[in-house]
Amino acid sequence: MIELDSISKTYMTEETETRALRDVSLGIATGEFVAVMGPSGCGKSTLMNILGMIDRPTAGQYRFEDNDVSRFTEKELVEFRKKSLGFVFQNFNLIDEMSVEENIALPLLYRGIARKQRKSRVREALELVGLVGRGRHRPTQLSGGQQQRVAVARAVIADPKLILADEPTGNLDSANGAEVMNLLTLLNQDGATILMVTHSTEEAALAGRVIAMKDGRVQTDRQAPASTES
Amino acid sequence: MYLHYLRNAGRQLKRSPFTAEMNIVSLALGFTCFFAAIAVNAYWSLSDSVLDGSKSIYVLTQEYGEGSQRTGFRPRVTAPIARYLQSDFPTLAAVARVGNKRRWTVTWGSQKLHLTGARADAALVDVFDFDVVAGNLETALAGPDNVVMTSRAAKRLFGDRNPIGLNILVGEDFSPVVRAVVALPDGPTHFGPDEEASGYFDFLYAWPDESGQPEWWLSIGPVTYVRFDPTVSSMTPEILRSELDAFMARHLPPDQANMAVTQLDLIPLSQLPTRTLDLALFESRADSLSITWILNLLGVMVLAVAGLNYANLATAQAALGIKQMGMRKVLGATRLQVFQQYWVESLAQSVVAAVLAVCALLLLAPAVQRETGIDLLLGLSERLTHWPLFLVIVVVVATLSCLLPAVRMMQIEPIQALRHGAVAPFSRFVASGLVVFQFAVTCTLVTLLIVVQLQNNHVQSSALGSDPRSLLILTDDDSRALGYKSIAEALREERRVEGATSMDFLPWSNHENFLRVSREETGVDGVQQVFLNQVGYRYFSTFGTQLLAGRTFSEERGDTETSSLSDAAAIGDPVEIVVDLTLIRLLGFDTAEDALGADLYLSREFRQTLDMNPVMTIVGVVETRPLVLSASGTRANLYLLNDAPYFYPVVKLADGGSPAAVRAVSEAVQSRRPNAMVRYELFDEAFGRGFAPVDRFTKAVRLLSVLAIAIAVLGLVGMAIFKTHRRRHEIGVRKTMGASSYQVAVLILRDFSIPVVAGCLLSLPFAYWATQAYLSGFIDAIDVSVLPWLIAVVGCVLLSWLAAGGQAYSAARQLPSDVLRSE
Repeated sequence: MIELDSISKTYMTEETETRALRDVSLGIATGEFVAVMGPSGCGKSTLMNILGMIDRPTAGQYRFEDNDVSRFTEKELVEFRKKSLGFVFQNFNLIDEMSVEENIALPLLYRGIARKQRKSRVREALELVGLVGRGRHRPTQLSGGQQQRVAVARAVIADPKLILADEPTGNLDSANGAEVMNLLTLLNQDGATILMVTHSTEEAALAGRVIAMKDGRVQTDRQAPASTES
Repeated sequence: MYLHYLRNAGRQLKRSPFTAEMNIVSLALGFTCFFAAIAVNAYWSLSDSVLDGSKSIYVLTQEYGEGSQRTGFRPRVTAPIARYLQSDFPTLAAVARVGNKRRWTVTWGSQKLHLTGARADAALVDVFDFDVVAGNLETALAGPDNVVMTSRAAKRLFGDRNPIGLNILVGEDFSPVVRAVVALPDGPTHFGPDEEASGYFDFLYAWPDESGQPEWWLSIGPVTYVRFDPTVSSMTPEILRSELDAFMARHLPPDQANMAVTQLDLIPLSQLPTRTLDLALFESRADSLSITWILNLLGVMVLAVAGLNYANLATAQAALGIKQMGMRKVLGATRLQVFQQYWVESLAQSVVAAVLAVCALLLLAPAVQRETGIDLLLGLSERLTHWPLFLVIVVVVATLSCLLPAVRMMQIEPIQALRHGAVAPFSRFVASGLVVFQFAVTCTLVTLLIVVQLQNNHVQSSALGSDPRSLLILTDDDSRALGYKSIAEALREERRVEGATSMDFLPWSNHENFLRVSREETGVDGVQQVFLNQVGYRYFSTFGTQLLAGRTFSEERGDTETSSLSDAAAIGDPVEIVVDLTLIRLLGFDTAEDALGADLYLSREFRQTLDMNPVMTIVGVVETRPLVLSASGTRANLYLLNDAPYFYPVVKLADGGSPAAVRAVSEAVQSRRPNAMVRYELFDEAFGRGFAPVDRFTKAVRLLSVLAIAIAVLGLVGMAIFKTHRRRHEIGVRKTMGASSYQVAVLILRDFSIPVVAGCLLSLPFAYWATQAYLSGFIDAIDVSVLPWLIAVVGCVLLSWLAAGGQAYSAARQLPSDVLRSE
């Protein structure tokens, strides 16, 4: 599904040059659940952003289902991102002024899906994340775990080919974190391809594959040991 | 999708109600000004549209003079033109004049009224399709002893009695018969209903036969209407306009052609009210400056300030919402969709503002009509074509206002937005730049407002003197026929009256009597144009005009009164004149004393045309005290002692113009003329009448300036809220490091003052141009220094402090721990 070939990313400021990624090459197959681990500043989020097509590599080639994404124009990237990717962020990034239903429906809205269809798909997504009856609530009326489940529902509602989760439990307590991880595991079991950035070895163990990064390079890339919980 | 954007706009309103309200209020104020300007112009353009066939009716205009001394194209042309026009262009449907308009004492039985009467050509009934209430209009203006009366005047004079065939007395010795009564339409026309309307009349009488009379082409004459009829002739206004120069060349007598350049033009009847107003305000510059143009410009300026205000606050809001916008982009929002979101939000607020503006106009309309006679609602409603224009303007304003934040947000990458969060995506110069423009416009308007006010105060104080209510100008025919000397004689025992004099024109009305004079006997070099003021004895003491050198006219000395300059010339001796300081300076005398005894001569052209060559000796020099507001480039005055009949008697009252003193003057006139119906104006009332157009213009500038300031201040309040919110962390750190509340407040206020001062500096050339353009029309303009602009700058800075002060205070007072904890 995904092929990264010698991807590098350098952030330039007037005085300094920061190399966030250095010659990263890896592949992700359809249906995989990949965890990316590493200390702060190792390039995890940069890798995630490049995979999510919200940032461009400085060098290297990024192929997504045989499309050379690194050559895409801005407009093509928007279109490709819209139909292929779902995002879950550590800080949820829900829009506080919108209801839960409206937040979840947002990707469909930008895809031009009709209102009636949006409603039924939002209902399904709410069922999936266990938040039926909370659709008209505002995000601020929900717990952190519930908010992240809303973010997961928003990420999956448009049937993306890849779900990118950037420390999805980072702002949650252990109980809520476990709920979110269960949800992601279920999604993966249903066939979703997931790439998750995490600091937690326990959560990484839930993924089938763990990529460890350090100083912008892939340090190890191995299949995860079976989780004690699973 | 648009519903989503609309909902989002609603959410924005809930999230930042104060900002949204300020945006809406300031835009509403801007729209109110702009719509009002359009409504006023629409109202003026509607003038006479209620008259049948008004679109086929045009008015001739004429300009005199050359170089900087031009009169502007006035809608009153010299009398002979109508006759030649009809004979040269027989395909014109009709040509007719209305002129010599004046107030008459009209008597019928015991009923006596002051009515406005004017001469009119019989062809007037072919120009206008008057609504005939009674009598035969076709023949009414054909006979010399007939009058046509308006139904309103007939009702006042005759009550319910049928007026046709009734004999009335007009003035002293004109006794015509009412032959027809016409009803003038209720809508706005130049015929009224306001008596100040340029074409207002109560009755019309026939234009006398002038064949064989000498033709004088360089005077202000009657209003001359031309009607075209495209159904029977190919003659169009454009064709006639193109023929007018050749027409003048054919008919203008050569000797008069040498005296001044004169040109004809043609305007649609609907432009007559605005042209009249333009001439009153801008004189010769009326061809390039128009009240409609200025109103629109002021409306656009206020709307621009409101739009900049919106752009500024929307930009600040966008900076706070950047993370949300990043998330939307991550979720698939395209650039176009981002733009649409901002656009719909801006459009929603603009529409609400526009609706509020229309409501404000509906509420203000009665007061505006009461104050100015302008029916805003008629202007708005009758011209339905303007409604689409309003909508277009609302959309344009909404689009321009949101352009900056929308385009910037379109460009921003999602990764930047998500990484930077609430950090401003705009250079700080963007917000400051908008404030700079906003205050450049505001400071220009405030400077203009100050100068307009100073000029008005100057005109009023210099024109009115210390006690304007002690001067009584008699305007009725009986008083004028009686003459000031007889009135003074009748008042000799009256202690409440100090004396009387006369003048040849009504103060603060059009003064058309001018001469061109020179110190050279040849009358070729150093020629200056002056107003010729024909005055009675004691004119200068009555008006309190200061004598600077020499003497004024004196009855005791036996100074000779003449009935005209030509009479004086005929006597042969030098004519004694008094001149003002302006003329002395124009003629190159160093001091007033130097001018005493000097002789002045008419210019060669004037001498040839008037067929006289008087030598005018200066016997006195007085301060410049013009009794006209604008002057077509003429600024100096020459005074001649003259006792011609029908000049205006002016009585100086001893007790500040008490009703008893005024009554005593009336009784004195009636003691000599028992049937006299005395009509008068106190000097300040006369000034008020002449000054009314300027006063209205001043009020409009004042209102629009105040609104512009209010909008700019509202914008600054909004910016202060955003900026201090964004700097909370910095303020917390500064206070932790030891900054006092005072230092923090100064820091914030200083930051706000910089763009305001920059805007004010930018306004200097615009303010200079605007004030010079305004002042150049006044005969006695103030010398403008940089002071009004400096006052405007200080005012703007103080206002900015006032606007940002509250936020600066609360930011300065906050506890650092509160801020840093919440961070």
